[in-house]
Amino acid sequence: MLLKVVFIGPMGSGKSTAIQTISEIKPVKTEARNTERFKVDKPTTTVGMDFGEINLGEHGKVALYGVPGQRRFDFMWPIITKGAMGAILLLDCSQDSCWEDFKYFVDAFTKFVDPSSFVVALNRADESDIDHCNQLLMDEGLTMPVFCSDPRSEQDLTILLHVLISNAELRFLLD
Amino acid sequence: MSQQLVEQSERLEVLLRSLSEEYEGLRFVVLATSDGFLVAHAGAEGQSTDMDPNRIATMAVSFTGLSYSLASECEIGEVKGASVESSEGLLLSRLLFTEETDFVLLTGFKRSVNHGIANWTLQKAYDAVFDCLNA
Repeated sequence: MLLKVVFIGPMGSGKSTAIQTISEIKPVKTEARNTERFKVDKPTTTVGMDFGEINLGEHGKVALYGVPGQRRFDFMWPIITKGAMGAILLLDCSQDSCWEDFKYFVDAFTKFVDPSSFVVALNRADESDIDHCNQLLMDEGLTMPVFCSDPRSEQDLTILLHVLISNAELRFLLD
Repeated sequence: MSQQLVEQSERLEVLLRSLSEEYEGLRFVVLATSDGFLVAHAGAEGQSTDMDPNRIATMAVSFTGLSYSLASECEIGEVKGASVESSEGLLLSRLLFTEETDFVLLTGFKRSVNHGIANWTLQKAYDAVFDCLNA
């Protein structure tokens, strides 16, 4: 069984870092020099996709895909998300545009992935950010699990994947 | 984009226009920063209502980035560029590195142009753009 999970979110939210952290293979990256360092101060940015894998032994594999976060790369999003069983939306709450990005990415990606297959992971967040996020979801009539999560933490990311897969199993059993 | 690049983009636009006029069979030329911003182009709009030079610039960057990773995975050495063959012509892209910024140069050719001529034309365009960027 091959499960496909997609990491989504704006530039600098930690998608490449997350895949780097949990992938059991050397991740495939498409990094290019970042000319928008005034926005997010990092030397490179993803321009194609990221790819990693987690081996589940006899149960198969989890394929991890990361999208380029800038909106100009939106043509890549349906290509990468095709067939995904779930999406992990990463957000850095220290970014000024965090909640605007949240709305934008939820709106954009619920066209490709069922809203019940989302997990929201807030980096550099506190309880008030989680409350705000849940409120925004309620306003949109959506329910998604929301966590504080560090994309450098294997433990945090494993929890996100467990939730995503458990939700998928639950949906499968209910259907 | 840096202020320096914004200032250079006008000169580059003129250069790309002159290249597309000079080389028979060259349909369009697009120059993008390696993270997907259009810097300059010639001929990449007006031929079809769907053709958007900004979008083509970003797509060229994703395509070249994926080609770079594919080549690395296949252990075929350092990537210079990538190509697309289609029923109506040929697309060739080339990575272009400067001290300040990295770029992707995309050239589109008519069906009548063979690979040799297209590669030769791309090299001429590459040299001209490289000189302009370093002037």
